[in-house]
Amino acid sequence: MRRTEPTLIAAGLVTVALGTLFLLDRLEVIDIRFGYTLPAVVAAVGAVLLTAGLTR
Amino acid sequence: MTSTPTPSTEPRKLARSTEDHMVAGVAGGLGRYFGLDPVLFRIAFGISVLFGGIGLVAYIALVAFLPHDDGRPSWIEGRSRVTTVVAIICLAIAAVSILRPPAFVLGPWLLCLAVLGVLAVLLYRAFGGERGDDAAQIIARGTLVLLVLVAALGAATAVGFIAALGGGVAVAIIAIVAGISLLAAGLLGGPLWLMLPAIVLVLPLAVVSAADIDLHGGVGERTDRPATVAEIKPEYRVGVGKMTLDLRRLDLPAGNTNVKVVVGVGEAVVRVPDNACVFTDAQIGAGQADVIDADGESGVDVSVDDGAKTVSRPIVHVNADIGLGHLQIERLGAEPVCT
Repeated sequence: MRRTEPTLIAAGLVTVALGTLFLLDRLEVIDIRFGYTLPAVVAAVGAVLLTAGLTR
Repeated sequence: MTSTPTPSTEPRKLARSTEDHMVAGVAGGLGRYFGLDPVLFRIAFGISVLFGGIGLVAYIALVAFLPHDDGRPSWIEGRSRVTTVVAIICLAIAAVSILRPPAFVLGPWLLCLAVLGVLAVLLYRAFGGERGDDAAQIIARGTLVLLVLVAALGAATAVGFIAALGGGVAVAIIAIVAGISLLAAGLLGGPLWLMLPAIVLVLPLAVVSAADIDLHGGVGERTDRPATVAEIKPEYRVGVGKMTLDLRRLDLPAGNTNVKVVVGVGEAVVRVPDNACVFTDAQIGAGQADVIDADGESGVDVSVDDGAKTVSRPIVHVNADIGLGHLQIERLGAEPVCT
């Protein structure tokens, strides 16, 4: 049986979260700007890297 | 009788590595402490030293304050209190001095370079690369990583164009589906390179959404010189390129004359008559605005709103919406009294 890969799970979660955020922006439900998009993307990358580091 | 090794219960301590070091062992120590590849920290330090220099200050601070992993104390340990205070003040002054333009202006490029560097390392690992590979393996895998990165950049550019041409909703839905697929792959123990397609979808979508880029309107350089007020169009639009709107031939009536300029990526230039006052209401995702009666603004999320004017002169009300680029509003003659 193959082992689960937590890094991929974390990447999947942040991709769904960011995709939802951008979908809401494209549907003009919210208006996102660089001011909070850049920290969100950096935080997402950080979460995936932390997961990768903690599960090695 | 055989003995099984017992896991170490000693707490992890952040220290400079004496075994894994290129300069002073800081990246090696950080990598061991966080359980990450030290190469990631070396890339981060290298890029931040090249662009702005804050990484150099951080590195010097860590060299000064971290002990060695073989028990030797840090440089600062045992120094007098005066030396410690002077060192901290020097580092603080250096950090504050560096955190100004151009370091700030280079911020987005710094982030792009860092993302590319991290991607390259992750891909190298995903293709089976290990530390200690011989030169031939490094060159072979490095070439493969380079090709994949170039292909990914091309795909990301295409995704960005699709999103900016009205396909943003579809791209966002595909990104969500890709995320769900990653979750499933993670539960089944899939390979790490599956993250790359998700990154290719999400990053350009992030830029298009944050800058509100709209590429409708075509590509190229356009100049419009309406001869009468009646010839002014409701909207002047270019997808990628330069839009020049020359209003200097107009004999404007007193009161507001509205012009709307939309540029996805590029430059908008609006030339106004000498006798007209200007009221600017502009949004720029990332770029610069040089408008009359206001200081130039640049960076991300640039917003210019210099307030409505109520004067008896003609007023040009410029409403500009630019995704990535530059807005220039200019008048050749002296500025009339507009307050």
